[in-house]
Amino acid sequence: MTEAWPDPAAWLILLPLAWATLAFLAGPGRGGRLAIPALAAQCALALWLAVSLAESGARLHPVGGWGAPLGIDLLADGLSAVMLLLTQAVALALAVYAQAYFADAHHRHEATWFWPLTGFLIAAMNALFLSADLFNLYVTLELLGLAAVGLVAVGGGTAQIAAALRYLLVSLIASGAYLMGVALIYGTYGTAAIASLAPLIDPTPPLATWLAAGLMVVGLMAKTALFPFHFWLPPAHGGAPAPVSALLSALVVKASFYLVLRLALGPFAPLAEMAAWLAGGLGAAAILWGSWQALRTRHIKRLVAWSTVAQLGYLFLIFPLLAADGLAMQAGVMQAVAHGLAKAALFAAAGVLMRATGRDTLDGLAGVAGRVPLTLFAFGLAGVTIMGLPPSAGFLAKWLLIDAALASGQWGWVVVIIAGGLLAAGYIFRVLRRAFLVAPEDSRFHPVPRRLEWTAFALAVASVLLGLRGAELVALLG
Amino acid sequence: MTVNEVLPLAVIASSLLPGLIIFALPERRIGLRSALNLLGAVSKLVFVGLLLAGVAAGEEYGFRHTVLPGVELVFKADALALLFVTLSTVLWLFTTVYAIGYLEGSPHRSRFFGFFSLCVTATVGLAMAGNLFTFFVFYELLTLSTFPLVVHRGTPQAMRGGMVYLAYTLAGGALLLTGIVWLHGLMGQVDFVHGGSVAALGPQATAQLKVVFLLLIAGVGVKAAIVPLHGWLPQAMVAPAPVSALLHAVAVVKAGAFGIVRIVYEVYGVEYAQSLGLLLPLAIAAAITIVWGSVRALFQDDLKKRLAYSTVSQVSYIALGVALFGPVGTIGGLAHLVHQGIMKITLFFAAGNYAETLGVHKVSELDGAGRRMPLTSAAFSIAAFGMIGVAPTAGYVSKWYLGEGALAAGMDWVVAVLWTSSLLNAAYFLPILYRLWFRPRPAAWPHEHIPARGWRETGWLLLAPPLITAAAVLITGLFAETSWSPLAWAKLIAAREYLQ
Amino acid sequence: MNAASLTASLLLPLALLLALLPPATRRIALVLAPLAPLPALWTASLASADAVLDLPWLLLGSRLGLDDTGRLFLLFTALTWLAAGLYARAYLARDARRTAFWAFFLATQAGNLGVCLALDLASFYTLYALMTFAAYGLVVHTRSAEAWRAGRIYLVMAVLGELTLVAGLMMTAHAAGGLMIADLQAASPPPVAVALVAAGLGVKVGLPLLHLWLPLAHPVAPVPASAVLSGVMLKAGLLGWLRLLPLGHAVYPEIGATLLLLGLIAMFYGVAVGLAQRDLKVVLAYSSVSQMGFMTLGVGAGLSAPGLWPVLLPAVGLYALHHALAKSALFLGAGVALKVGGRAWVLAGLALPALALAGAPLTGGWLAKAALKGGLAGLPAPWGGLLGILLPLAAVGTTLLMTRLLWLVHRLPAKEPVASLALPWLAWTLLGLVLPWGYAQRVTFPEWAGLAAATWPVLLGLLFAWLAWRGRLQVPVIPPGDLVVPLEHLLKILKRRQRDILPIEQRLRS
Repeated sequence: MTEAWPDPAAWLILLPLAWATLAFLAGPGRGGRLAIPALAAQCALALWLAVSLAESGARLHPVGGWGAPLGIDLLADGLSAVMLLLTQAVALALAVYAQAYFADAHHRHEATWFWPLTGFLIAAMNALFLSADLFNLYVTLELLGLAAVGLVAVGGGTAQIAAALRYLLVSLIASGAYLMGVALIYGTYGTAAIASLAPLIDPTPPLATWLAAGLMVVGLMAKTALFPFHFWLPPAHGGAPAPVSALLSALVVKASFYLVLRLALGPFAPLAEMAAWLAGGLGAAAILWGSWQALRTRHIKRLVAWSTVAQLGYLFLIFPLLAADGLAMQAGVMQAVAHGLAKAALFAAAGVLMRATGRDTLDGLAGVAGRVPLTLFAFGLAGVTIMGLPPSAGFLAKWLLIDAALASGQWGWVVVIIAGGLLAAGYIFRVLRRAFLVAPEDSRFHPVPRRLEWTAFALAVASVLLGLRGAELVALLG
Repeated sequence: MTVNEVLPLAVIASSLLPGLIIFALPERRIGLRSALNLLGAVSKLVFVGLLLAGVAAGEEYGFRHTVLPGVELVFKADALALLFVTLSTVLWLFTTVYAIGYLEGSPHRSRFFGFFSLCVTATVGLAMAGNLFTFFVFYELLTLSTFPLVVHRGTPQAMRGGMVYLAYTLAGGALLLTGIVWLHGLMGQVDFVHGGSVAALGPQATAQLKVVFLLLIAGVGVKAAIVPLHGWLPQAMVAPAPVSALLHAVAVVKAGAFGIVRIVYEVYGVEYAQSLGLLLPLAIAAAITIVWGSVRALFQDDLKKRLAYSTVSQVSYIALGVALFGPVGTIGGLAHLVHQGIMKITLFFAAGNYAETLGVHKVSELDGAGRRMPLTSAAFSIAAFGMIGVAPTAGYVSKWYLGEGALAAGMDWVVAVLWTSSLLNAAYFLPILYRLWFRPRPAAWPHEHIPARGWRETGWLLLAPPLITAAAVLITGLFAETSWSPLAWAKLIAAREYLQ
Repeated sequence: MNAASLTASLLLPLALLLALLPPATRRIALVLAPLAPLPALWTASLASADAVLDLPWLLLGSRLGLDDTGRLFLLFTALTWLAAGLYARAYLARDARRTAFWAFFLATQAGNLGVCLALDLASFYTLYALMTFAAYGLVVHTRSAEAWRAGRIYLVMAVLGELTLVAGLMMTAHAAGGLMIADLQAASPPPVAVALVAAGLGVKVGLPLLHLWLPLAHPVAPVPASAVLSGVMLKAGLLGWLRLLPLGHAVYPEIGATLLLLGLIAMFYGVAVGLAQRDLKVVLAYSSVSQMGFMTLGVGAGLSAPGLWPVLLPAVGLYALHHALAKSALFLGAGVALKVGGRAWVLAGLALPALALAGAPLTGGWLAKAALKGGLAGLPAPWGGLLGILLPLAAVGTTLLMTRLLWLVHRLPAKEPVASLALPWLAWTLLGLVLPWGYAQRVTFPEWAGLAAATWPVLLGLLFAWLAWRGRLQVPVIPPGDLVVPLEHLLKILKRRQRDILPIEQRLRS
């Protein structure tokens, strides 16, 4: 790479900050026109980064020229490149969706500070994926949490404000726990850089390290909404406007998972074996409980939100299996990517369905198969990924996960994975089967912009077709 | 990419692409939609013809694409694959013509034909799958693409049928997946090869291999409707007649039966499966299914339900043929894969014609329908005689080979099963024929939609497909020993499977 | 030429059948339909002995051709169909369902003629099935309640027979290692296969207990159909035995003994139940059961003592020829009698074949019975001696039964004569007297001294009949189909039970 072009990593943080600020200055409801080309550029940057990483391996980028431990290092490796790509791609699609969504007169009032908040959110996330230092990670985490809370409240309804406050509380406590953990680590080892910490922590660390790791991981689990910390998620994600729900469910929760994975693979690897069973058990509980709730709820978006709770469980199933070989890590990332695309598609589709029927309940769905077939198709395709059916990326994730479980002889997880898939089929088809029913006489359908339908569809197709290119993704992870 | 790589993909694409375009078409573009459908069906036929000629001459067709490290999407168009591909392709053409006529004027046709094309895409993909992974991919795609067809009518009853269908097939898919991944963990990618490959794992793996066999067979057994996994099939008969034809003859149950063939012959290898003692339980399960399906069929007054139970029984002939150790039984089973398809599709076409033309859905309402619809009824009668196994129909040929195969394998009791089944088949089909031809017609039909015009008892799109397939039932039986019959192709496959 | 005549024998009836279906060609087909057996007749009388048509692509590999047995069967089958066809033209001239009748008539005919020509298992079975199923249409032609009942029972038994036959054929073919009749010449299939084939075909032959359909179906069909049903289609079952059983080269003592026993039972049972009938055609049908018993004896003897088969085969063949001619003549005559009434010339015309059946001297029956007796006499004890006593007694029974028939005809009220029916019948009766003599050189000709032995049973039978008449003996009435009646009762009870059980099952399910 030539010096004339600065590293794409830095631009991935600066660019969203820039358009977020501009959007903020432009005033409420504005900024969409700016965000879309900027996000497209970010996509290109992420792709560029990924390609160059594939050629030359992981790379450290010292911002401003100072090295660790004084300066801020940006670290880009395969894992972060995958997450960056996912973030930019989903965000771009959702931006296109959101612009059309908020253009409608009924939803214009919900737009308010959507664009600047989204910009900050993405900047924080990109920074998080590129940080190599526990403290910097805390900062990005806090920024991310605040932006996310702002987005939950963006609609301005009473329920939304309540959900946002609850989210804010969880977020603050969780960040606090994380920060305490970081402080303990820094006090014990004198550094917060992940790379320097890894060799320092041995399999029998002092109590402080255990405490620190516990605080950090629990805080992150709460942010990821892992069972039993999931209580805040369904109201927050289920109540927000569709583009917001999609952003939060598809991307934001993945950021804290990413961090858990980083820690488990890096500095906390010696401790991970002990806690792995706990994480896996909680993941299994999340799968079953989330699916069960999704099977019971009467609201479309609640159903999708509960599905997020369940799907996040899969991410934590990988921890007991990490030891086996690279399979489990690949499975986790594959699941994160697949779920990110599919969940964005599901929320986007749910938004269309609700707008078309004017109702938010499952019972209101009768007849939509004839009215918005494309959206329903998108919902179905995204459902294929969620259910883990071939040829989707979700299927590859499940395949890898089962493979890893069988390879290490841990049978119990296979049962959970299979059962989770069948339960997912149960709640996805709750929606589809109602959609195929004949519409009652008195039902009224509202027209929906084609752009909303097509973006949902594109996301869903991407989540399925990615399954055919799983090899590339795995190669990028290294 | 070489021609030998492209051709299998072309077979898949020739229904996939029209299907995707049809989804996007507005409802009123009937002409364009029909043209696309037929273009796809005909071009697929051409591609399959090229493949057939090539494979008969010893050419090998295949395509590989890596999905994950050590996991590949593999297509191979071998003789066995082409047996199934040809059947689906030819019957798809007729079913499409029939469906165009059947659904005239009904809503949501773009959706219907879109999924219809996807369904056959999944079927040919599954037929040409070169390893278990690929097989599973298309197996599940088939489940998903048939669901919207089963619930097409949108009635609560259709929905119930659809949900039962899903519950069974997805659970079956889960079992299949577990078995596949397990085997994958044991030996890496499991390609389909003549004579099977798992024997290489050695004696210490036999216990695991037996469990995996059970998982795999139970997985595909759901679609093949082996008792007690058959519950979905009679429920799914709420679907429109072309869909039933698809479920029963072209795609779904056949996919299950075909899976059994692949697993026994090309994963385990028939000799190894025999040495593990896996074939006898399979034969017994098939025999129970054959008799039980027929017994249940006896008591159904709903015509399509009776046909559905008949399918339960008939499809297990294929499994039975596979489980008979020896080439003759294999030939019988494989030939029946085709023969059952053309016979059952004829029956469902005819049943659809009675429903669509006269509003007749029940056996007890069929009195005198032979006089009102002689051509449809003639087609129905030929296919029914085929199901009973009366010469010179196709059903007779496969039953004969199955019986001879059983005797060659020393399993004489199978002849008694065939005898019982044929008797029961006669007991539930002959009363229908009696009503059709010998009972006086009623003063009025339940709901006559299509009036007769001269010799044309119903729309010609509805009439032509059953007549052609009924003729095929006779021709494949009469000319069974020619070199181009399904039987001859089955012999070719058996020769290749047993040479190893 | 051979190939063409073989093909034409089979295809002409089918072609005429197809021509019947479209209205455009229906008239011409109706005119030509009675002549459909002509190519078969030509083949039977003129085709060369080595006439074989190999069709390896047809079915599972087919072969059509003529051997001695096939030629004989084809001859009387074609002739009988021709007579019945000519008779049917007049008989059904004003029938509303004429076209349907001819369609089934031609299909049955094609199957029946083809059975005589088939030299492999697959085509034999195919044509046999065609004959069986098409004949259902003949049985139910009148659409009366009795016809439906007879048709139902016919079909149930026929399906059972067909399936049993196929199962037996599968095993036979497996043992023989081929599907050609020629492959069976040296094979000795397992007894179970032989038993299945014997039983499967036994339904058609009308073995006791498998005969239940026969006295119901033969009488309800229109007269020309009854004539072929009783005259030649029963023989198709017999021909199947001759072709498919391992006769002449393997011993099956149990099956042979069973057939001998069943043959004996049939001879007397048929007479006994036949005497208790009021309907002409039912009497004739029971007579068929009884007469088929004679031929069953021959086949049973062949399975017990293969050494006798070279003598028995021509005897059974001659018996089949004789019975086909006589029984069809009687049925056609019964049809005339029912239209014309008990006139003297009708009685006379019926008496001739009746005497032949009873085996009166110089008739075909005399030749056939003597030949059969000669063959059976070689059986080991106790059969040889036992049959020597029982066969004349059976002839007494036949005489009684025929007298009963003539008595029933005699009591019919006289009506207007119908020449168009009477002429084919009378011609046929005369032919029936002559034709067996043409075949007599194949068997050991009866000694003239045996004339007395053949005469006394007939006289004894007539004496008994006279005594019964004088004594005004009241004959108890047995319903046609005899054992079917209690069986149907049993089924009805079972069905009622099932109706009681069904709601319980439904309740359990919900």
